[in-house]
Amino acid sequence: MSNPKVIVISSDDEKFPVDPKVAEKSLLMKNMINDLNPDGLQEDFEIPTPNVRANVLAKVLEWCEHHKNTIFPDDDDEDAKKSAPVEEWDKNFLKVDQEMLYEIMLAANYLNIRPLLDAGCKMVAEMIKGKSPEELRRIFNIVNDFSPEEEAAIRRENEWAEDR
Amino acid sequence: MSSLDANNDPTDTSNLPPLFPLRGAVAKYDYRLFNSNGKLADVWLQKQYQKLSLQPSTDSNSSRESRKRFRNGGELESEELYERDSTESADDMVISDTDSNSQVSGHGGNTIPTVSSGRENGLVHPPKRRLTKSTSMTDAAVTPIMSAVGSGNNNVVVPFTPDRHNHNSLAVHNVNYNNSIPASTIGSTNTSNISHQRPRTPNAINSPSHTPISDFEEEQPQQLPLPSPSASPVQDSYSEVAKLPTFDPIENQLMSVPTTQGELLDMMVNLSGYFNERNQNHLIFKLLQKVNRSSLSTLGALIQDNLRRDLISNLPLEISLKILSCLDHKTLLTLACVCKNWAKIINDTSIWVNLLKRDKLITDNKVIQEELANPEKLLEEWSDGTCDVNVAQVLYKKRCIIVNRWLDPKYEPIRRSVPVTGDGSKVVTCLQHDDDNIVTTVDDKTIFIYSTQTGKLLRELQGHEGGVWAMKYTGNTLVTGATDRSVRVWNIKTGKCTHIFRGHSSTIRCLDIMHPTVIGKDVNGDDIIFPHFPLIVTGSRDHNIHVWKLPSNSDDDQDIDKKPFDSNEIENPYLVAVLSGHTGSVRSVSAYGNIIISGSYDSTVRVWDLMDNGNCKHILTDHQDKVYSTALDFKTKTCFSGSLDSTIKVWNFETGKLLNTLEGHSSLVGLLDLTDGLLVSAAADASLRVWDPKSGKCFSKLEGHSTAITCFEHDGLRVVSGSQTLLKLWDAKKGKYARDLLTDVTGAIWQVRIDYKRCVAAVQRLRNEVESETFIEILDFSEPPKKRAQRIEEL
Repeated sequence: MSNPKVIVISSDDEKFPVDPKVAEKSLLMKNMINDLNPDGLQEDFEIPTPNVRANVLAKVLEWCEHHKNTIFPDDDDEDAKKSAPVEEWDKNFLKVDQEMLYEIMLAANYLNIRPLLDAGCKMVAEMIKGKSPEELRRIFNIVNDFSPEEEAAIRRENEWAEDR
Repeated sequence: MSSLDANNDPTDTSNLPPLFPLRGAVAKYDYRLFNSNGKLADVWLQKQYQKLSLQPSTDSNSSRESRKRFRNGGELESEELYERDSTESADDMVISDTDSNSQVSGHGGNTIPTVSSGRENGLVHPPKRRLTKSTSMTDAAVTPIMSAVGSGNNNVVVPFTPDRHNHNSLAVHNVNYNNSIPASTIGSTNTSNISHQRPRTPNAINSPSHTPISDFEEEQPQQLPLPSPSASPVQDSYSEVAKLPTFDPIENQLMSVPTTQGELLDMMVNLSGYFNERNQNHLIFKLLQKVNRSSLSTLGALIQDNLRRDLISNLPLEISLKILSCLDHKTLLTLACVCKNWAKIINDTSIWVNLLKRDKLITDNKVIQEELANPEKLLEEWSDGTCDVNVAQVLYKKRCIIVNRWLDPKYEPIRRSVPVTGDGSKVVTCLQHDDDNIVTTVDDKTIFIYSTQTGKLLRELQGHEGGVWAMKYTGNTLVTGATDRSVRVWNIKTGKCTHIFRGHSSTIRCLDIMHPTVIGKDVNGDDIIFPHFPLIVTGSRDHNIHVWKLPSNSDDDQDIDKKPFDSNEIENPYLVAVLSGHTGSVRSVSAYGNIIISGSYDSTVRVWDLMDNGNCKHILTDHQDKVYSTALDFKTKTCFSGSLDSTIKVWNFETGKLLNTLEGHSSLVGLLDLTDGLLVSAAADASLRVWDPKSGKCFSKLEGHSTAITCFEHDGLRVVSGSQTLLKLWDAKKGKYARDLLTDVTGAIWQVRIDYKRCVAAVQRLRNEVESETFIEILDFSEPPKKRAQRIEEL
């Protein structure tokens, strides 16, 4: 028999057999694999992900596959992580509609894949940077619920930061 | 249809992309055909039930009403009618059988083309429920029945009895769709009475649609909330359900033959309600395969547009905060104008505290806590006050405005010039300040203490018998070293000398104070703290370094008349260690934790380890000339030394290895300052350089002085430097000149110190060719905006 696989099962019952190395990009799955197979994987091991539908899971596993050999910097080097730009491949990978981006981020959060969640956060941050409130409302389909007075008060409080 | 096909002819050799891009696509995941044997009636009922439990029954009534009207009238009454139906029942939108997709749009010759060509008309089980894990069990329960029924052409398995206790009692009925026989044969449905066709009460959950559910779910229908207006006792509902038709017969939908585009459209939309979600997706996929590029683009844009969502509000808060932590303050303040919820999310202490640290406005958590502890004053002075803002946000605003004021040449700080008594030609050797006191020493035995707020001379400390050349204080305890070879400890509040340490045999040239600090973890994971009590480190022209215990001066030491502790003895209880080894003057000491770095005129740098009885750990010998300055980064185990050989050397003090030689200065590097991950050097070549302490890269050269740099300080954001007549400010991040802070100095800038809001400098003004005066200049950049506006108005 070839090497045992981890079979990730989506909420809609699609099965995704992947290399354990790929699945272990998710800390949740890594812990599950290690906790339930203290002697190492002897046979295929099924992990249900009841919060993630197949389309999203496929995408997330594609990311894990691509990054299976990537070593990500430690958590404690917060500054380095924050300032690092999103890798080009990740950037293209996350060029998806907002619904998919949303679901990928939720899945990355649930499956505990920090670098993917970080990349998602930075992508959203990129979408936000340099935009006016009106543009942001359009991009994120938001209704302005401020009264003119409230809006004026906020602008007054914040005008110090505007370029002079 | 065939003409369309021609356009997609695979033999077409032109380079044009396919006209129907999705033609060759394969359906997968949630838009793949799923359980083609699924029974239509069950899906329909399921959806009806969902509707009933989600919305008031009147809504579903009206939706149903319009459908019925159309069905009966056989005529599309209005656009609105159609719209209402399709929007209200969003979840039973277009669906169709997969293999028969093309037939749907076919002509009306065949009364019921869709269903007749239909898949194996077989058995259905209810759509899977996403939220329960029982789906597989449901599957298991149904599968055998499915295979028993097989794919017989016109066999419809109809749940026969509403008896919920008999889940497996299914009846197989023969329905011949081709003969267009009304569905009166199905169950107890009465097609002639339309009003009876829909389930009247939500008790339809007990209807046969749920019969194939396994025992596992047996009681569940009963437990579901039933918002029915006609909620009747359970007993009654049984009889009622038994009497009433329990599902909508599809035949009824197909009774009339559509003759117009509108009718056909409506019919298709209505029929789509019989699909479960995945097959509905599949139908749309099949339809999309027939859509050409341009139309796909239109639809794609429509879909993209409507998939936009408020990611910041919708994501879990911790993720939203993570996104916001990638943004700068200007962007955040823009976001606060978008909508109330965003304003609320941004109004978060942690965001602004992190931003204060990231932008180096305040790097010490303790300082942030102190500032936030007095929110009323902060809000009153620095907030506009008309809207609800977070205190940390206001603190950020305050600090940011103050930094910008420093860098803005047009901003005039509040200035106070304080003349220093005595001979103006004497060098001001040291200067240190805080919010209350400015302590300064002159090469003239006396130590002066001024009020930072008022500039008033508070105290003159007398005692030293020679010029004071080294000074540092912590809290209320001041330590000085002088040419009289003694170290003195003073109480700042009382101005009294409390201790005199003798032992050095020459001028004390430099000193540092060490505080207990966590230097690592022991085997048990507990913090190792060293030193155990604060220490004084003094370096002298006698080549030695002495380490003393810092006496603790309580603030309320009222015993003015008490004589200072004065020991001429070798056995001074305060003396901790004598570090000997240098063969020249000790010019600079830097101490932290258990490590002391000393730079000497013997051209060496030495590393001393107090945990190892003060033994010399390494002698760093690469400098070619006297060492004048040192700096130490305990965390990265690196130390830095500046020398008369014009270089700065970077060492690992653990291994003693030379890591880097920073070259660029053309003469003595007399001053080094490492703060917040930025190393700045100042040299006699009239320039300063900003370095990356890790890589040794030179970020920038600060050029503009015309004589040797006499003094400077930096805080990661600002560099302030003094030379003959010039006091300059530089933007540390950009490595650029910002402004001259003082323009009326005619002599030397002796010393300069800064904190976030103040610059304090000791300067010399020439009265005439022989006489000069010394001044303490205090520049304050922290005037609250309202006060400032008021003051300017009064002027």
